[in-house]
Amino acid sequence: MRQQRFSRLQSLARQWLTSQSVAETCSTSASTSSPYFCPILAQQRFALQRRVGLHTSRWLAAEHQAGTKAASDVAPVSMRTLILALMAGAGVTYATRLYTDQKLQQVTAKSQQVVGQASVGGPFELTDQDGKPFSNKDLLGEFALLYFGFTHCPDICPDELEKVAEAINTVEKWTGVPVQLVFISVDPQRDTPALIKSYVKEFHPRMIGLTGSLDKIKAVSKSYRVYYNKTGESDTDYLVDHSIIHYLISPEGEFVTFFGKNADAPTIAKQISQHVADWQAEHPGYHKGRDMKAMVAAGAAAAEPKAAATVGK
Amino acid sequence: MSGPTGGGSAYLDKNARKVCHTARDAFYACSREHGVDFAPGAPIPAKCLQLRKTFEQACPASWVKHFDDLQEASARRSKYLAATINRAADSAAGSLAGKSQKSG
Repeated sequence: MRQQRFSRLQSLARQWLTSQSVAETCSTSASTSSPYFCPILAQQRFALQRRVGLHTSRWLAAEHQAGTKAASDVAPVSMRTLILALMAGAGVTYATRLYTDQKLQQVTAKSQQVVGQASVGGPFELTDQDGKPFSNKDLLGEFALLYFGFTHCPDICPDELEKVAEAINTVEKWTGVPVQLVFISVDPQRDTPALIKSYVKEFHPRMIGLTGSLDKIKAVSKSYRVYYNKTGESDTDYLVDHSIIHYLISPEGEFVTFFGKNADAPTIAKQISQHVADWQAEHPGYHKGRDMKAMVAAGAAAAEPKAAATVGK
Repeated sequence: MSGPTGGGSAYLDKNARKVCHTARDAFYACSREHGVDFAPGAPIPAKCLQLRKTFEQACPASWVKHFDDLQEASARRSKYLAATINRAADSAAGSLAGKSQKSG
């Protein structure tokens, strides 16, 4: 229907614009070939405008105008519409990008959420260096650092135990918190309580040494995912290959984090102190009266220039 | 071949460990000096025989074997590193035979 009307108008316009009288009158008029400069043509254009509207009439006029100059002046895609379209396109692109970025952020944040706790550790019942029974419940109430080793260890266990003793001393210096040090033997065959007592005394006065029956040691190593394996053929002179790892346990007996061979004493001290401060933030009754966060920050700041000095040496 | 009993009720306390480690380091240094990267079963240079005996007396047999194995592993690693570095040094910029340091 609309199409029909338009084509009828087209033919009417064609009539008006290409009539002989118009051609005669306007051919000698102004140098430009625009219909706006020819009075008769202008009159007719005005009449057409009233019928079909400004833009359509202009377009119709241009379509039948000699020369293409005018046509380009009123083409459907003018500079103005082009710029408008580009701006609209840019706006849409920007909005879409913003939206997708937001969505992406949401998705990655969700995927990085850590759900649940690593199931490391568990209850154990062993014997301490005084021959008395010692269970995991005896460690509750304060942080504890567990290390699995054996007294006949040639080099690694002594180095690790010294490192961790130094770290614990630093933590105590900064916060006054007496983190418990626990040494669990993976060689219960040779490591009697008496042997362990003299062994741990050399590293730290507060270090607890634990041993037990083969089954109990096997159970606690399994729950802490510690690998150990006897090497060598002799029955009395052998080494035990084992994972080199220290476990940090919270005052509620849950696994917090671990430190390996590559972590040095200052790093361990800093991380443990941080966990201590975080724990106090969540449990206000923990070491009430002492602001852990401030003490840790002060201690760490004081240690910085010293660390830099030793590095420079 | 008998060192302190590595088993039974004895273990090496801090001082004994230090004695063992010092003897170990002395022996390996001597061996390196004489061009032998010591490995289990390798011939001991004549000059280092005494140090070897001290080493074996200061440390339990299982420890001696453990340290020897470590030596072999670390010697292997150093050889690999040296070879890699030499290979690169021959062709790296700045060397006499390699690319000039100026660009182009």
